[in-house]
Amino acid sequence: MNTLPQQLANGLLLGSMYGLIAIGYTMVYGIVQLINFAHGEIFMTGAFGALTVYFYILPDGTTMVIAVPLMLIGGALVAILIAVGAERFAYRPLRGAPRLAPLITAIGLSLALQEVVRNFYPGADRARAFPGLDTTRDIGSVTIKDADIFLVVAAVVCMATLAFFVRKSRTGRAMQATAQDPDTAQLMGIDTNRIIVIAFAIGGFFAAVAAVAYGLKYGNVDYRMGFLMGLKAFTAAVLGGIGNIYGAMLGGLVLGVAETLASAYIDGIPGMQQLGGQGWSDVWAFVLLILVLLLRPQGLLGERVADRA
Amino acid sequence: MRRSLVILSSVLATGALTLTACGSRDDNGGGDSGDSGGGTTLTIGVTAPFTGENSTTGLGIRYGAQIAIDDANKNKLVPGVTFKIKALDDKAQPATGQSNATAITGDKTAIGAVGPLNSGVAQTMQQVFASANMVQISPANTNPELTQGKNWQTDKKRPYKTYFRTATTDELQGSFAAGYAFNDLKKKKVFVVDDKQTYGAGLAKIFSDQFKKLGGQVVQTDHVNTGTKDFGSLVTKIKSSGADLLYYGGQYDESSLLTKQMKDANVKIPLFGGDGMYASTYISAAGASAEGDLVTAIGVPADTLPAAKDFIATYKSKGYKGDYGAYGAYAYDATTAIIKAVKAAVDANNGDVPSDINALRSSVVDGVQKSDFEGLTGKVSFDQYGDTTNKQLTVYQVEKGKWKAVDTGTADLG
Amino acid sequence: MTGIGPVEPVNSAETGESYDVIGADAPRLTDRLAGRWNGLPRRARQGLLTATAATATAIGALVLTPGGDPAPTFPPRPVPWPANVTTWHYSGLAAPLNSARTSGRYRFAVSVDHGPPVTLTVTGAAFPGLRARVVPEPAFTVHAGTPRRITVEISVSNCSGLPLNAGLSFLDVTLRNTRAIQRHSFIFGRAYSRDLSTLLKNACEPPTATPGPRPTGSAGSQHAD
Repeated sequence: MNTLPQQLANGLLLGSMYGLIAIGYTMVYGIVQLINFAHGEIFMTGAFGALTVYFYILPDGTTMVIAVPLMLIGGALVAILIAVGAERFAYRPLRGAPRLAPLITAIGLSLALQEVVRNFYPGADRARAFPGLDTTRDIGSVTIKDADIFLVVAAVVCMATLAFFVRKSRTGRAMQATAQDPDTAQLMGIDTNRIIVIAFAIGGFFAAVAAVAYGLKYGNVDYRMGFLMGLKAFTAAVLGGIGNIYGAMLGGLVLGVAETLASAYIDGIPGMQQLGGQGWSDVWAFVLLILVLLLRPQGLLGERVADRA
Repeated sequence: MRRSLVILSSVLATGALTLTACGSRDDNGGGDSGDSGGGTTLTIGVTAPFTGENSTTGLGIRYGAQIAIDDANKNKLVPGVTFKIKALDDKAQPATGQSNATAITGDKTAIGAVGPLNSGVAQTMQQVFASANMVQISPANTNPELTQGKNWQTDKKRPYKTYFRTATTDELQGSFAAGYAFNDLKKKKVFVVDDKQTYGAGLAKIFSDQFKKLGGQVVQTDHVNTGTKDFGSLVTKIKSSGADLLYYGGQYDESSLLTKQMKDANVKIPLFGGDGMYASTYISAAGASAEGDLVTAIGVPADTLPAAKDFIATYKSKGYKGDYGAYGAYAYDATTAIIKAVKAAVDANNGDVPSDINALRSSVVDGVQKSDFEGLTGKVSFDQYGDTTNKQLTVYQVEKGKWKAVDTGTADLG
Repeated sequence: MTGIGPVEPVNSAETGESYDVIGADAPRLTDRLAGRWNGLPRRARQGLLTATAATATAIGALVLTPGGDPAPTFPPRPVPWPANVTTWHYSGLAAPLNSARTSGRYRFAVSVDHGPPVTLTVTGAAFPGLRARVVPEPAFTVHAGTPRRITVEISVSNCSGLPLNAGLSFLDVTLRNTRAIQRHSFIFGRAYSRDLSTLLKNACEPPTATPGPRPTGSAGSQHAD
């Protein structure tokens, strides 16, 4: 049985999820040069927002066709609220501070969000069941489920919309301008604070989409789910060139495929049995990251930008 | 500046991947242990995961010990002594376990400890308790090395005389599972996965060895990281391997996700695991995918133990969290063994509590070694390695969303 | 993937509900009684019913008669499940194993710790190709406090699929007391495994100079998955 198509599909699916989360890292970094380490937790709160809609707001027995869009809205509301709140109350006061200060704040915020959810969301301290889309389909030799289709469709639609928004809309162009030079942009009459808030909100929205896809795919969520996914997504953003939205998506896909293929095939190479398998997939992902950073320090699609500070 | 920030963050991220949030939380008291009506107060430490991974079974240990202490205080088992619990969350992390052990041995009223849940955590604690000459009884550790030394297969040698357990070992558990898979389930080709932890890897190896000895085939092995959520690649490997059974050495946190993703990918083979998976959370997290999956667990079903009826009733009426099914009654018996050893030490001292805590600790170690009483789980006594002499196992299978006992066994390895 | 007897006391550890579905003897007994009842002639049934009703009335009258202190009712000491009080210990071969034989006799000491007597039947020796039974009587009863020495005859009925060197072998036993009927495995250590391996090697190892009565496919010879 040729497993390559299935493994590629596995990798692309995982990668799409990384990519969606990575957008949040990359947009925020592109505009304010802040690595928002709490983004993984924003992803996590998005999942709980969606869960709340499903379990506590919708009546029992709502079909998934209706439930999923409502869950998306609920998750997005929560994630955007927290992302924007974090910007307003945690990061904005530190805008002029040395770079390390917001970074540490981000890590603290991430722990705080985890603990809040663990302590106050019922049943969140262990895996909580999330409604799944578990119907499977065979496409050639590849088996995928409905949740996977949702993930791919959501990723493509979101990316296309974002690309259009950034390129064509007035706000999008203002974002580009702010990213290039916030001071000049402000002098030109752009409300940079508003642009920054929008960047955080878009990041939160994408995280919520990924979170709903995550819940539908894996069937449960818990308060730690953002930690590992956030780290992987950040890695994906760096891999693709942080600051570049296409880079984030590409980095996510490359990372997901690399991880999956490494775990699937490296232990089949003679002499490499000890270094293969699922347990080593993270190691290979980071080997790839280091190689890319050595050869192309700006990341796959990153541009060489002179330091501004 | 900008580049260095990215690099710094990458380093941070890589480092953080290997570390999860550490730290411990004191959680003293609870229950009705507040009434110290004069006399001496002695502390029994409990360490197990109360939050996050493995917490369902870990909380069963915590409250099992709590009920034993409440019962002892209520019945004035040791006149003049009030027992108190010092429950510390080890988060299934070896480093946290070690600092908990230090905290317990540092407490001048502490005379013994119950826990931990994870064999890997126990490894870091044994030395600490041995140095303090304080007894430690685990209701859940199953790795053979803990009591019988590194070379337990050839040359059994007890590493620490302060370490005891009421759980039987993986030597028995893995072999029993292999026998059940081969003879009863009639499975011949197994895919073996473990989580690289002391417990999981040890159990998976014992299972594989015995399964091969019986004439079965281990078609492939793989290892996962704890905390992993996506097993897509592994599932595809399992699918193409043609295995008719997946054996998993590890905890329910990962295996519940693995079984779900496996069944979702139309790989309809049962997942078989050890006592680390025997928790209600396994079923609630995996949902219908858990149907038909199996575990071996230590002991016999708590409900076939008439003596455990009151225990179960108390556990439920107090509304304690967690799952008493796996280790709760064993934690109760482990705690009772310590309390009875204190009683023996007090009796030997003309009814007074020895004033020197170190002397008391040392006589409690001796007393636990000599334990011989009828506990909730049957006879409680320990052999020369500190292992329980009550070696019972049960195979459970998920049927209609519940764990159902399908086979039980008792070992006499003498 | 069955091999699962219907008789274990099964309770979910989850809910802890003690529905004594399996364990209890009662269902079987009542089934049998019901069968007999239905088999009785109509007149006999009526007679029995009348007699039962009369007895019940009499007992009720006695118990309810005021003045008489009803017998103090002690909460009955819980009757243990048989598998939890029974221990098996391997004590060695009953007779040296003959290299030409396909069966061997193994001695065990069986004891019951407390509770009512337990009746045991050995139903198997772990592998489909092995048959085990207690000689001379397949079922035997052990009383609490008096260990009993028994001999189990294990015979090889089919060599295919038998491992020649398996550790921790076990016996499948059905136990019953007034509380429950249970199927249970008793696992033995190295001594028993070694002695069992000797039997298997004698019976199944190909290069036997004097081919003993090699068993041919009988019960359980179809060894498919």
